[in-house]
Amino acid sequence: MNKLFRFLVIFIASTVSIIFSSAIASADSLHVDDIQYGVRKPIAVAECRADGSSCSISTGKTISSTITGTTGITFGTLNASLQGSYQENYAITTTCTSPPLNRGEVYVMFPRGDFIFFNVAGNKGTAFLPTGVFCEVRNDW
Amino acid sequence: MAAKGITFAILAAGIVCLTVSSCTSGSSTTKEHHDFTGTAAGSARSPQESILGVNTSSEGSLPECLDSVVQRKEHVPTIELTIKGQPGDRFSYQVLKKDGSIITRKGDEFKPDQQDAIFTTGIPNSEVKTVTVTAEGGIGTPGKCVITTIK
Repeated sequence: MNKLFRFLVIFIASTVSIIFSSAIASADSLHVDDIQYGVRKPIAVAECRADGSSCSISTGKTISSTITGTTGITFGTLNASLQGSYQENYAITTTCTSPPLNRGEVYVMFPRGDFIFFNVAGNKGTAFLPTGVFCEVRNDW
Repeated sequence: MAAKGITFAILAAGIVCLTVSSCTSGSSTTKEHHDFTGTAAGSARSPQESILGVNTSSEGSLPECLDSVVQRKEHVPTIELTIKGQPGDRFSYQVLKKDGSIITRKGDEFKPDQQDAIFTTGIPNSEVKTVTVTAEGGIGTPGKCVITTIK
């Protein structure tokens, strides 16, 4: 009888742990807490300078999406839960043209994207999903 | 004694299972926001279509620019335009200032993989009366449109 009891306890514990682990890995448990649209990532993609005239930035670069946290969520799972509107690697197809720049001014291209706050079974994570670029004049002094 | 232990173990497992299922079912993905700004691949323009999406008649005033083609960035102190186009297109803009002066700038021809162009003018909104955008291109009819809604 004692053996049967031990067997049952081990069996139930195993079943519960399987249920827990499957809950963590499942996309069903992904909960998007908030989305901040059109956020600028403060890492320049490219820049140009011109003394007294304008300049243009066009790059063949791509902006990669980033996911932080220890939730194990992949881009595909997150994107699917957001109706599949995003690209994991966004190819920049924009050219930016500056106004005439003064000495000490630099025209900078920044990644633009949506910042996602999410949790998976209470385990929090964030993601930056690129949607385009910002271009602006900065003082370089 | 053993029977009591088994009953307790089963009850405990049941409670845990119920807790897990309620947690997972209650945490389904919310989709409260649908205002996605991702760039969709545009369909190719036919030679008869207007590059700016509006018809410029030879008489009368210029049509207002479509927001879907020429978008003015909001909530910024200076005029900034994002113009959607296709490879081979070329856009320029002319700013008519309230003091009567005119500033004209030309953009480069769209490259083979280019879909839009951002023009940062550096001209304060408060100084601007209108902005006229001119389009030329390899495919589609050239034309002009105007933005008069600047405050």
